[in-house]
Amino acid sequence: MFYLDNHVLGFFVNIIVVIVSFFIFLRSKKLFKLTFHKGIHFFSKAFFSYGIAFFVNVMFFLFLIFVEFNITVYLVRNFLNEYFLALAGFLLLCSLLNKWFHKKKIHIGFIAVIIHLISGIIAFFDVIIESFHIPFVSFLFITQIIVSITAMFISFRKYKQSKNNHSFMQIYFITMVLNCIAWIINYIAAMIFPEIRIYVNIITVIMFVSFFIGVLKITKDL
Amino acid sequence: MAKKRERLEVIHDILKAIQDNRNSIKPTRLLYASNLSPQMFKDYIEELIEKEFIREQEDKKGKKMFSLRDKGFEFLEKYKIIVQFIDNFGL
Repeated sequence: MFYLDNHVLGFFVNIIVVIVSFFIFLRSKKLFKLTFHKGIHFFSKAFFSYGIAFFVNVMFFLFLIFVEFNITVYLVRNFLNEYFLALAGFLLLCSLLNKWFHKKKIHIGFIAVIIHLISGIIAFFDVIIESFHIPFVSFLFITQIIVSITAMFISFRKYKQSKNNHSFMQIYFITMVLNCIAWIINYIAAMIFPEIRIYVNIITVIMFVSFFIGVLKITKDL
Repeated sequence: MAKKRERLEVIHDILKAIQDNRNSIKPTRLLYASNLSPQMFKDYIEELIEKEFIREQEDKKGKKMFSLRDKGFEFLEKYKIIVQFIDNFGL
């Protein structure tokens, strides 16, 4: 029977996500340059951050092929990966909240500083926690589960408010549900059952490919 | 009551008015076509000039006219894609 090691699968998943994320980043950046639309800006930066977070993983995989495991490199990789993952989650949520920010006249620069700061704090404390092997505590997982649940509800509301229940908004909502499930499974995998990480990989690929198809479909004539 | 236009919709209307007028329009006529207050019109025009969507130039009689630049034409060409992207991703 064909057996695919979880690490090898993880490596390919990371590569797929890096390619997809940078594709979405470049396409949406092009639209941002034309519109200066803040929602597109958040969306574009979110996928840039996802791309970097997963690229850090790819580099770490490659590093382990050529060099022996090194705890400092491992912690630096964890910090960067968690920082960019947290940032991406917050940015994606901000893209959905863009109209609300505009209505409340909240300055985009202020939001950017806050989410960069929070992401840095999350990554820093998680690295410290990991160094001391404290079980069941991960600021990244907890915050991202909260962020993804919030994003899920907002996208559901937007889907319900969209004209004729826009079919794409329905897919977007489902993608947000998958995002939330992925974070919950990821948390359980990291804390209790590492063998279920394979499901996180599968859901991650489905999620990013859904975004990829969505962006490709709309921007094919760009 | 008419729905308040979104920022991108207003930009589209301004650029379209210039394009429909053979890419050269007087400020007063553009103000009328854009359906904005004079202050808002001024803000939008300043932004569009700064972001290189339109240019201000003088005609043969020395009168001020607005015309589209490449970015303005591109915006009009891609407007449908832009709106679809914003709607589909709930931005």
